[in-house]
Amino acid sequence: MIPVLLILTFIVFSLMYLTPGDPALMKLTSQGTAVTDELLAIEREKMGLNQPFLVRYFNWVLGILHGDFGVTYSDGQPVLPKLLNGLLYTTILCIAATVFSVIIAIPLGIATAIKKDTLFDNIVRILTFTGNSMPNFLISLLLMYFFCIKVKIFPVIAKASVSGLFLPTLATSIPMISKFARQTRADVLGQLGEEYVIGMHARGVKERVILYRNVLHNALGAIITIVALQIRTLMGSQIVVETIFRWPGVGSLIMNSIKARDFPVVQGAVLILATIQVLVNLVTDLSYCLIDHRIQLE
Amino acid sequence: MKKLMAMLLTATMVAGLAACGGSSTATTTAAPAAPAETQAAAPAETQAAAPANAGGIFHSVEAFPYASLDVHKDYYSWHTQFYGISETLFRINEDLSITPWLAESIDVNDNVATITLKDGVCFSNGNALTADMVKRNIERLGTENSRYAYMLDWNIECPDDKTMVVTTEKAYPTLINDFATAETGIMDLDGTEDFDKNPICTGPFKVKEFIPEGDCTVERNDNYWGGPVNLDGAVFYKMGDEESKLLAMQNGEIDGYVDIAAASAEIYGTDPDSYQLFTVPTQRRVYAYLNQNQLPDSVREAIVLAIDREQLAAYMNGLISPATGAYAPETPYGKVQQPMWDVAKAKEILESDGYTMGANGIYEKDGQPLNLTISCYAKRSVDTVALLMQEQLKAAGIGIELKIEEDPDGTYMSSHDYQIGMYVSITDKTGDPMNFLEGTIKSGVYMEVAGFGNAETDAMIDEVRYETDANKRAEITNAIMQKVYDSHDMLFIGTYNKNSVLKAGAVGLGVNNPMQFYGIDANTSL
Repeated sequence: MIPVLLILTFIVFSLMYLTPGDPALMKLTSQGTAVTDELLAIEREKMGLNQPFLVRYFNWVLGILHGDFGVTYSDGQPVLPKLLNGLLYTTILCIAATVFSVIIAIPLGIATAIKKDTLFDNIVRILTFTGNSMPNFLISLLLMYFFCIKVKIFPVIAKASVSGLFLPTLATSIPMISKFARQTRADVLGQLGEEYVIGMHARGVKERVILYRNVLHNALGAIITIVALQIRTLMGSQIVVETIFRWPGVGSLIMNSIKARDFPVVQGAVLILATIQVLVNLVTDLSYCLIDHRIQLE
Repeated sequence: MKKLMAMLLTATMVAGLAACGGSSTATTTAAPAAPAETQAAAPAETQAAAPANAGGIFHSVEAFPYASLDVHKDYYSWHTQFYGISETLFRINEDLSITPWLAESIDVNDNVATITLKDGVCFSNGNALTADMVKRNIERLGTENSRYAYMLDWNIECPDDKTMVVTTEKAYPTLINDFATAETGIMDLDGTEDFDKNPICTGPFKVKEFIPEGDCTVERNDNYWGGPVNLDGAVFYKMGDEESKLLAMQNGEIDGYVDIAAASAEIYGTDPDSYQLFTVPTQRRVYAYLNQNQLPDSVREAIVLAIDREQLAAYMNGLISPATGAYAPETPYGKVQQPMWDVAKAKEILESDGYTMGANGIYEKDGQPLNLTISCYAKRSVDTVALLMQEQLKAAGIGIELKIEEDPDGTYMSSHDYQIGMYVSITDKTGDPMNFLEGTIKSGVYMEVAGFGNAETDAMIDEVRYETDANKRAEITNAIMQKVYDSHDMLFIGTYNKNSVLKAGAVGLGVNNPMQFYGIDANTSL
């Protein structure tokens, strides 16, 4: 894990270094006013942009090892509190969306597998295909139009509160529910066709026992994999939902920082998100062992 | 160095992937392109006078996040002044004239300016505004903001509480303009405990709550020196998504905002009973550098003549108005402009230089088609402007390929390795031409990238720098700009409009002021 993260720091820093654009110039001209060469030179010096690449890289890594992610180019504030604040909100949204999706999608997937090719299954299939194929900005705006304009349950200008969490959670969950439900259905159907299920049926074991103690248990590995993959994707891709619903997550912070060439923020964010992804991988691997005792830690 | 870095990076990535093996972690940072901004044309309207002490809370939105309300740092004062928190010694009016605000008068005698402050001006905490506090504010601005570091060279004396004498090394004719920029807003440096979140200023409103990179709530300043304040307060929500702003406006959750998109303006325009639309040209202009090191004079001149700004602005649907010069033609220093659209003349110029029309409708010379590249970036709809230019130039027999650059700061032009480079900047920040001349036209400055700079115009720019007679300044500036236009090194295309919407009956938000840092004031009402 540590070598992966070290290599990552170098890649991230190098990419930022190679990105076209001058952070000093962008800062000085952010409102479109002309600047002189002398002023530009002073600002570059102040921002440490005149130092050689390796000096800047090692300073950055050393700072991180001491818990110091540096200060932003745009406002000179420490990077870490900004990132942690954004990450907190993004994590809350991701957890809420994932929990909500799992609660809805797994029973739905099981039900559609049991009632395969019935009217219910066909309706759910259409809904999940639709939910899976709609871009999340469209889902977000439709939800906003329905809940805020038509039904008027929520305001358009939401706050970062429990009630403000509902619509972004729903907007994030709809594609996830669609994915999870389809995956659960496929996995459960796969298990239902296994010989051990036929054997249990032949021995007169109750349908409920077969389903929940054996079939679902065996299908969980694949479901956990897709949920873990989705969590990893969610953490770095919530910009649209966060922007539309004014949820103060890390997505919009990263986006604005990329636009402003605020490299310390982008570097710190990528590093933290990558660390989270590595940790999610680790937790996922460990969870396989807990769920399926045939898998052993080595 | 960068090539070496690229090779190193590639090698590291390969090594990294090999080391990670099958359990490699893929990191993707989603970075969708910013949506193209297009804004609608709408008739400018004159607002009615506001009723006194109408009360209420004005709700609005702002698109861009910012971390601080410190008036002197970066461009944060553009927000504090928009929110009616900070004020400056002088202010820029709708016609770009400058009049006293916190100051009563200014008396300039060569390199000495004597500024007298208004009586009765006080901060929101009740402390009186003194000349010494203004002096300390200027010193703080020079220290905190590198764009104003030159102010530290001024000698400032305060013979009494209301008089400040500024002595500069040489005559400094733009002193009054400097004191009209938002960054020179005055704070109570002794009374302010948290400069980032709660600066104590002189405006009609004071900070109630500020969330860095989030919403800002202001409340009425009951100690306002300028008389009664209509509103009880205002809330400025951070909201980047245009559709969300439209829905919030339609839902009655906000009372107005500036920089509306064209699609939203069309919708508001269908309901004039509910919404008022306003359009005013700003001083932000889109223009193209025509690199004289890569394009012959005849081609540059033909390009200037081949662009139909009127048609281009019509396509942009209200986002920009046509511009044929760096400065507005209404200003004394904007009296010379570039020639208007004349395709026939453009073709004539090319043909007289030996170009002949090729079979595919593109001019050729010595067997080489006249195919050029426009470098641009996807911000403020510059790429759309370039796309429209491509069509117009093609109609004039000039083939164009678009090259979208990553960076919006013009770095891609600094190597001078481009043919036509698009750029956007404020050409007239304070009702004076100096900033643009010194930052763009003077030889050797960062954005003088077309090869125009020369000793003669440099000397003329220096002359403008120290000339105190306004008419003479305008005369020299017009002469400089005539040389720029005659060189065909720059093509001025459009002026960005400030498009705003207010709900019916609401007054204020600086909708008629071309400067973007004027927003709510004591007269704003719902």
